[in-house]
Parts: sequence; C-alpha cells; structure tokens
Amino acid sequence: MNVRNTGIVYTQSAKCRDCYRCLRVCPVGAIGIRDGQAYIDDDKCIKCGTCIRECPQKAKTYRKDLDDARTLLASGKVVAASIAPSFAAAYPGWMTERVPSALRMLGFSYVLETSDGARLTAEATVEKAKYQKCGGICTACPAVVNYTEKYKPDMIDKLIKVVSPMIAHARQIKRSFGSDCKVIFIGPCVAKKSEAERKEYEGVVDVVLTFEELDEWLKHEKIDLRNMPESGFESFDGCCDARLFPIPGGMLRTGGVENDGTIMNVMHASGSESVMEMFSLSEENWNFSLIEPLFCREGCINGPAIGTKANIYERRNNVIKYAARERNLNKTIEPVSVSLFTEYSADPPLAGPGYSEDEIMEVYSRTGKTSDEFQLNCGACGFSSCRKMAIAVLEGNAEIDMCMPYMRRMAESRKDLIIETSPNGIVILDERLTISSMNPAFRKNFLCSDAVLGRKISYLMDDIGFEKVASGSEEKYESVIEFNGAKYHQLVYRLGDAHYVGIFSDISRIRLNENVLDELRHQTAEKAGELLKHQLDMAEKVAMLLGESTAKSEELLERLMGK
Amino acid sequence: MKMKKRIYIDNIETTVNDERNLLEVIRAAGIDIPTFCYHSEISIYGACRLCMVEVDGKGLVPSCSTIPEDGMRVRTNTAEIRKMRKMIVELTLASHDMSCPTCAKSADCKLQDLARRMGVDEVRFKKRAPKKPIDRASESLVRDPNKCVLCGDCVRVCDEVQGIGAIDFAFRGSESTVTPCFGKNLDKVECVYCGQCVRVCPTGAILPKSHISEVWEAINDPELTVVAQLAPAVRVAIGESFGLEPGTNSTGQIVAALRKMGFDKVYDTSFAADLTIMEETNEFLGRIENGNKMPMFTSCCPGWVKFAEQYYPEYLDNISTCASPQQMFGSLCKKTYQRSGASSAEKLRVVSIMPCTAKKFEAARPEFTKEYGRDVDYVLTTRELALMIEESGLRFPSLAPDSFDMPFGFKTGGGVIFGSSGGVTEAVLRYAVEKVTGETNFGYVFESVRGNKGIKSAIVDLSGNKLRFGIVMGLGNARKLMESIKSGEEHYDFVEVMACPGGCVGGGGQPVPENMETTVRRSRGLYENDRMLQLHKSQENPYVSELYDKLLVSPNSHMAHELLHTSYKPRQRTEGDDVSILSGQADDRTEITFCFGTGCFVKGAQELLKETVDFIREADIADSFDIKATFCHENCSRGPVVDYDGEMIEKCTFDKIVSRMSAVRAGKE
Repeated sequence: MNVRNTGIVYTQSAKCRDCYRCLRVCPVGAIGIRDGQAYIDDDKCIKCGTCIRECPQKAKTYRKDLDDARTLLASGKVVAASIAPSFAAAYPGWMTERVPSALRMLGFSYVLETSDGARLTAEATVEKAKYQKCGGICTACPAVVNYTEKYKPDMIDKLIKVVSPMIAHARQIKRSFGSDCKVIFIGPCVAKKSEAERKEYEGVVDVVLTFEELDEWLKHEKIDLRNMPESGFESFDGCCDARLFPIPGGMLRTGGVENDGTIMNVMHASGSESVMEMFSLSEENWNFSLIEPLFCREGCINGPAIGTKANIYERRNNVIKYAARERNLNKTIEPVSVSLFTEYSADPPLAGPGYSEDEIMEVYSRTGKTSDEFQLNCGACGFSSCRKMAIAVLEGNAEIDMCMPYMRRMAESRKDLIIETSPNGIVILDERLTISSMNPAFRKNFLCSDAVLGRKISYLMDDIGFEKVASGSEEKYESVIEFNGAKYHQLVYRLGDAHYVGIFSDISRIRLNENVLDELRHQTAEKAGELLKHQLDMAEKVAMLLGESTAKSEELLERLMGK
Repeated sequence: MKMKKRIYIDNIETTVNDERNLLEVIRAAGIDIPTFCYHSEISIYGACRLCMVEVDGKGLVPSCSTIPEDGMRVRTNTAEIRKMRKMIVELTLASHDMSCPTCAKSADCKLQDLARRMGVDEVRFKKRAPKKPIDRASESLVRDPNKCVLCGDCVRVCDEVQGIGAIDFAFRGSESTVTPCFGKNLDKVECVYCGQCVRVCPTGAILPKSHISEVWEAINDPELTVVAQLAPAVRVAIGESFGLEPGTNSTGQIVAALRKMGFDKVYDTSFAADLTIMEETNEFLGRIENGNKMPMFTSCCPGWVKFAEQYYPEYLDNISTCASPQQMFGSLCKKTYQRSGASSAEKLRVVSIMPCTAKKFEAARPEFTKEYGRDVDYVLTTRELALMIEESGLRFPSLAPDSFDMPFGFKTGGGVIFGSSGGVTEAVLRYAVEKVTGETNFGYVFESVRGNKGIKSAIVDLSGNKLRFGIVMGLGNARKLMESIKSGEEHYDFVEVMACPGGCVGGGGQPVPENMETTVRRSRGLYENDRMLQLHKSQENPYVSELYDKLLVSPNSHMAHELLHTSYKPRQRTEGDDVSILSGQADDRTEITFCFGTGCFVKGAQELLKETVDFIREADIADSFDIKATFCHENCSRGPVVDYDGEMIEKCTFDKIVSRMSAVRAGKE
C-alpha cells in the first residue's frame, strides 16, 4: 500500500466555507480551524467519517484508492472482490443481482460477499466472548476499535481479539485461491481503509474501495448495471444470516446470540453518541458479556461512503430482504479455515502541551468571557465548551472570531456606536411619517427630546421631501434646508417597506467650492444610506452571517469616521 | 511500399484502402449511396442501378461493380443521378403493392426508406400485373411476391451463402418473379427456413411467419399458463430495435417486458442449453468409447438438421440425437409442470423467443408433437418480440431489469455462448475436458474455437486422445466441409454446424443488421455475458444436477432419451407429384421413374433419362411406357436410382435399364 502525505480523511480546502459543522459533529474533537479552514488532526481522527457525511459543502473527503485498484487489475494478476453485505442497501432491488456481473466486467476474477467472512467472525467472537472475563466488545467496526485504542485505553481488554469480517474474508480468499490472488474490499466505510493498513494485516487486503468509488469506476468504464445479466457470487457457505451484519444486531444474530434489546448483558449500540455513552459506563456498572457496537447510526448501511440517499430504514429493509431471499445464484466453493485472532493495544496518549489557567483566561478575555455568565457553552463554534475552544485557540486549532455570541455582541455594539456617534442627524420615520427613532446629533440640531417620538415629522420641519419619497414620486430626495440658523443638507430615502430615513448634515460651516461640496455631499449621503440600510437588515439576519457583516460595518465605520 | 490509390469523390480526395469496389470507397467516405442489391457478403449483381455514379471519362457507371482507379474523379450527386434514382424508386414502387401501413416490415423497409430519401411523392405509373398469391404454406416464412423488387438478394444469399438455391428467378421481362421451383410453396421445396433471405430482403417480400396474435390470445386466456423461454442470441440483439448498440445485453429488460406483457413465467433457453451439453457431451464421449462412426454432428440448428436430411441422409446417424435446447426445454417444461401439478400439459403454453425462423419449423416437426400437443407451442422471433413490446407501449431501454424465474432461469456461461458460432463446441469442451481428465481446475476459455471464420478447426488433446473439432457457420460452408469429409480429405470427431453467418446471433429472426460487424458485436456480447456469470461450465449448473437427481437419473438415461432426444429421417427436397416426361397410350404400360434428386442428378440421372427416352422412341415402343421424374427416392448414396415398375434399381446405368426391359419382355413372352 502506498504511503501518502494526507490522512485518510481530510478537507478539500477550496470547498470549506468555515461553517464549523464538522467541528460540532466530530465525536472526538479531531477537527480544528486554521486560516479559516477546517483541519483534521490525523492522530486524533478515528476515521469514522461522520464529518464526511455531515459537511454541507462536501469539503470533507477521504483518500480515493481507485487508481490502485485499476493498476492492480491492469497488472493481469488474479484479483478477487470482497463486497460488504451493505451492498444490498447501496444497490437495492434489481441492482443487487447485477453487481457481481458488473464486478466481473471490471476484470475481477472472483467476486465474493464479505458476509462469508462475517460468519467466521461472528462465530469466533461468540466463542471468544465466553472466555473473556471482563465482558466483550465486538470488533467488526474499525471506528470502534480506533476509538478504543485512541481514547479508551482502559477498555482495550474488553475488545474481543477477533479480526473483522473484511480481514477474515480476505484470508479465506487468499487461502482458497492462492496467496498471489489480490483482494479488493468494497464497502460503505472509510475506517476500513485504516484497518487494512494496520501492520498486523499487511498483505491481507490489497485495496479498500468504497461504494462511491465503485460507482465512479463503473461510470468511467461505462458499465451500466441495467445491461448486466443477473448472476451470483463465488461463495464459501452461502452467507444467509451473515448478510444482516451491516444492521444493528446483525452480528449477534449471525453468532446465534439471543438479543431482543431487553437482555441485561447482551446489547447492540449504534451511532457515535450511543457507542460513546456505552464506553463511558463505569466499571462497576459494566455487566456486558457481549456488546455489538457500530459507530455509524443504524450500522454500516449508514456508512459515510454508502453512496445512497435512500431512507435509512428502507436501506435496512433491503438488507433484510436480500438476506431472506430464496434465490441462490451462487457458486459454492470449498470452505477453508483461517486464523481469526488478533491483538489490540492502546495508542500512545495524545498529550497536548497543557495550558495554564492564566493562558485560558487570556483567551476568555479576548472574547469577553471573563465572567462565567458569558461562557455560554453554546457549541456554535463547533467546540462543546468554551474551555475546549479556548484550549483549541491556544493550540492553534481555533480562532477567536469563531465565537458567535462574542461576534454578535461586537456587531451590535458597533451598530449602536455608529448611529450614536454620527455627527449627522439621523431620523427614522414609520409609514405614517411619524418619528420612530433618532440619534443624538438629530436631537441636538433640531432641538428636540424623546417627546417627539410618535409625532409627525411635519411637527419639526417641512415634510415635503418625506412626502415625495413616501408617495413614490421620488426615490430619493435631496435638498438644503435651514433650521435654527444652520444649513443642512437633507437626504431622504425609503428604508425597506415601511420606513423612511432622513439624514441631515450640517453644511453651514463648510467653506469649500461647490464641486467639492457636491462630491462630499454625495459621498456622505451615500455612505450613510448604505450603512443604515445595511444595519437594519443585519439586525434581522441570523448569527451565521455575523462575521461577514461585522467586517463590512467595521470597514464602513472606519471610512465614515475617517480613521 | 505500394502507394495507395487516391480518387476524388465530389472533388474531395480520398484514399482507397482495402475496399473492393467504388461503392465501398464512397460509403467509407461517409456518403450513403443507396442500393437494393448490394451486400458485402454476397456476389455483386448490379441489378438495381441505384448506386450509379458519374465518373469522368466514363459517364454513369454502377459503383458496386466498378473498380476504383487511381486519380478517378467521381460525382455522386448530380442532377442527372438524382433524377435517375428517383425514377428507379418510382418504377419499383409501381410494381410494388405499397401496402406499407399493414406490412410487418414497415419502418425497417429499405424501399420505404429510399422513397422517403429520394422524395418520391407520387407514382405516376399504373399497376398492370394482377395480384400474385401469397405463400403462407411453410411454418416459418411468408413470401409475398407482390412486394418483391427483384433485387435478387434472397436468391443470391440462398445460393451463395447457404448453398441451397431454394428460390430463383423464373420467367422473363415483366413476368419475372422470384419463386421456388415449379411455382411450389416453400413448404414443398428444399428451403431450410434459415431466414437469411429475410435478413437481406430490402422489402417485406419474405418475412417470418408471425405468431404474435396466437401468443396474445394465449396470454389473454385465463385458462392457460403461458411461459416464455428466451434464447441466448436474442438478448444481445433486441436492443437494436430500440436504438441500443448491437451486443448490449438487455436480458433484464426483456424479462421485465415479458412479465409486464402477461407471461406467467420467464425462463432461459440457456438452461436447456446446459442440459443439452450434458446429454450431447456424454453421447459424444460414448460414441468415441464405442468406436461409433465419427464425426458426431451437433443437432441444435434446425436449418442444418433439415439440410442434412435433404442432402446428406447417409450421415443422419452421425447427428447427435439430442433435441435442440428449444425442444428440450419445451418437453421438460411440460413434463415438470404436469408432474408438479403446476399446470396440465394441455393447459400449458410454451412460447419460445428465438433469433431464428427455422425454429418455427422445428417446433412443428411431428417428432415434437406429443399426445398433449406440441412441446413448444409458439415461436416468436426477436423482431416479433420487439413488435409486441412496442405494441404494449413499454419503453424498453428504460425498463427496470427483472430476473428469470427459477429453476429454468438459471444457466452457466456455457449455455449462453450457444448463440455464437463455436459456442456449442466450447461448452462441450468445458465439460468433456473435466469428464475425461478428471481435472476441474482449468480455464473455461477455448480461444481456438472462437472467431468469425466460416470454417474453423481445432485439435484438443483429451488424455492423449487428439480429437479434431470442426466448426462451421453458413450452410454453404457446411456443404464444403461435408464434401471434404465425404471425400476423406478431412477427418473430424466433432462438428458443430450453425446455418447462419456468425451463428444464431446472425439468425434470420434478428433485427436486420447493418453489416457483419453487427453480428460480431452480438457475439462479443454473449462472450461478455459468459464472463460476467459466476459459473461457466454446464456441468456446474446446480439446477441441472438437481434435475438429474429428481427426474432424469443420468445423461442419456432412458428418461433422458424419452424427453430430450429425437431422430431424423431422409427428406425429399421437393415434395409433390412426379413430373411426367412421356406418357404412353397402351393399356399395359411400364412405369419408369427417374430420381432427379441432387445426388442422382450429379451422378448422371439426366443423361440416363435422355438415353432411355431416346432409346424407347427409336425402338418405337414409347406407347408402352410412362416415364416420370421424381425428387428423391431417398437413397442418395446409391444413385442414380430408378424405379422400374416398383423395383428400385440402384446405381442405375443405361445398360441396367435395357437389360431390365429385355428381361421383362422375355418374361412376358
């Protein structure tokens, strides 16, 4: 297997739009933000592929190994395909019986169902569990194994030391067809790519592809399942129950273990939350003899690379239907026995440098969270707590402007600031041309107090400009008015459907030639108008847009204030 | 290196590659010159004149029979040429019955297409000839002389490719017509119903006999159970009727369509082909073991079987007694339905879907008619099925694929490649090698028996026994091979014959192919299909094994013979009354009948007749004789054969006749 620079799961930076969704969904907090882009720490990543499934921009992806597969087949070697049982969910109905044909069309010499291996795994697991004193966790799911090894070193001994169906099957294949026979595993799972690369499995599985990759391959070769004849697999024992492996409880069923969900010491759990909850069970409460965890919710049929968008329970039904079907098109081959035992060990701990409370407090202070009441732990940044985020900032895996409440406060305070500090008088009227708000400059220049709120503008000044804009006869009205001995440039325009804005700039003391004056007037009026409109809109917008709008108002503010 | 010739077509310089005539060069250059009578695989006839082009210095010439010369300047589209082509089509239409809307060939018809292309919007000539009778007498083909444009394609393909000559031109000038001998119908002559004439006919003058309405009727009858069997070659060709590429595998769509149309079950003839391999290979190995006369000929092609019955009766014992897969299926299906109580044989209708027109004839053979009726009730050709699908309003290419019913829907690759020339041999080898050597771990591909050659040979070493396999496509080639076997020039142990070019994929019931490349692509489709299956050797078919366990006991068992084997008998090429040559007036006359069958004819029957008649006339005893010619006394190997008043004189000579006459006279006196 080639060694590559990127990890198995990574971000295509061109597509990442820093929405932080991956940070929020990553069950182990392996994702951070650097330079505005989501970044996966390969050492922390358990390859579960949750981020791939969840990324709205499809920016999360995994290492594609199609070229390796093509090269292998082009080399003229005998290559066998081991296809995961969830293929019945990925290729339901009439497609199921046409998948083996398509694989042979691609050049595979043998096409087999991994469920053959799953049967061996299930039987060995149940057998092994009997002698495992501290209660056994099944190890068919590589994400569960990765999780345990990286984050639950105390639980390592609970893992049942049996290989996964993929490994068991690949060994069966090589035993049966000769060690020269290469094996390409095809499944819905990204973590299988990491499993195949484990040192102890060297030379067992030669390439791991996903169903998505298979789809791409078929498309490239112009192989249409529609035009494939129905056909079967080469099969060691006719699979049957083992075809239920990709749905929760399927392994226990294959192993003949009773499991109806109400039995004290036998359980299945699926989805990262359930699995992690199970792992966090205290030692004294751990009473399982056999537990079947699948890291993806509802099992492998929801694997990140399954390549179908069908309803998850429809997928489940398709798997059950396939397992129950009576048609047997398979070619039976002599079963062989293979070694099914393996070892699991804890990864070296991921020790961060460790940060002092002062350092964390410093980050808090930069985000205005020094007091507990501002530490909302809202998770909007993608980190589950403010503290975790602060640590990530210190590690260089997060940036402070990822904190939404902080950014919102920033934006709002600036909006107020602009209006409050503007040297121009600003007044906002409602659709009946009554005053709904005004800024200090307006109060000062037009000698009024909050008492005028709710009064017609005509109470203060000639309202011709407002009337014209309100009647629609003019879009924007500009004039010069005099009030209390001062000259003001007046700009009136409509704001949204039901508001009118008047901006009054004092021009009596400006001694500039008319051209410069015009220019200035124009610019001032425009900027002020734009700003106001922008800010009113902004107040209605969701937090998602805060970053952008803040930046914009800041820029405008700076230009207005001549900083 | 020799410089390639260059010519100018409509002022565009073009290189002449290996094209044989100007027409091919022009077509290769992308200009579709219209023709009726040009087919690359048969001789050039030059009758239709549609391919006329103008060559500088030569004037108008038929491009099909003009050799391209270096520097030639050709114009293909002058006003004169256009006018002439249009006139030819108009004149052709004048002697055509123009019944397009009711013609089964409509939309596939070259005449219709050319009339459209040439912009013929009026036929100014009145029809003069009275309507000729339509020949519906055979089981397979319908001949409508009113639609014939006298291009002679059918005549030439029958003679040149198939070596039969069942039809030819008769009469002259405006009376010209294409007809079987003596104006007989096709059921009474040497036609083997291969349908190659259908394949080349540009109009609807020869078409397969349709079973469409009978099949609909059966489907609509609630009393009946109707099952379909699908021949391998159909699945890689029917797509062409719906705009798919030749060789595209449409099995799933066909099964889906058949179900939607109302068939109760859909099975695969390839299952029966696997069964055929079991029976035929065992028969073959048994023949070797017992030192029987070799070679053994295959029997799955009904065109070939009738051909052999007519021309090589002395080899009938060499033909495998296995019924064809179509018939094995029919017989087996009726038997098992009856046994399981699924349906009585009387209420079961077996419809086969075949690339072949001769299969209609085969299904009607008396050998395959039992007390409950036929084993195979109806035979639809690929094109008929396409029509039924269209009639049903199904959008074929977008149908979600469906799968065959079990158990007769399960096949191995061996049963699928049956549809290609060499396929039967290869499937036999896949079993024979295992059976003889005991080896199971060998590749299933036998490249030496594949390919598009008319006659292929392969030597296969089976445990030290070097066996010669011959593979023939096209009956003309079959005749060549038979003659070489007969003369002792060649020796074979096993000979596979398929009447059609390319094998069943090139059958007369298939969509009309554009060229031979189409057939090659269909063949490739079948081999791909084989490759995609999990099993390739017929003996590995678990349902075939189950069938032996439950019903047939073992290959070539008594039960297998009863259900799956058949027999052959010599067949007159031309049936019907004898032809009277000379009729005497005397009351007491001697009747001498000369066999004019091919065998006797080539051995001098005609000279013998002439000598005899001359002798009788000279001796002035003509009144005492009735001299007749007949077609075949079915004793071809000992010809010429003469029936002298009820007594057969084999290897007859003039002297034998004269001495017979003397003896009779002496006896009387």
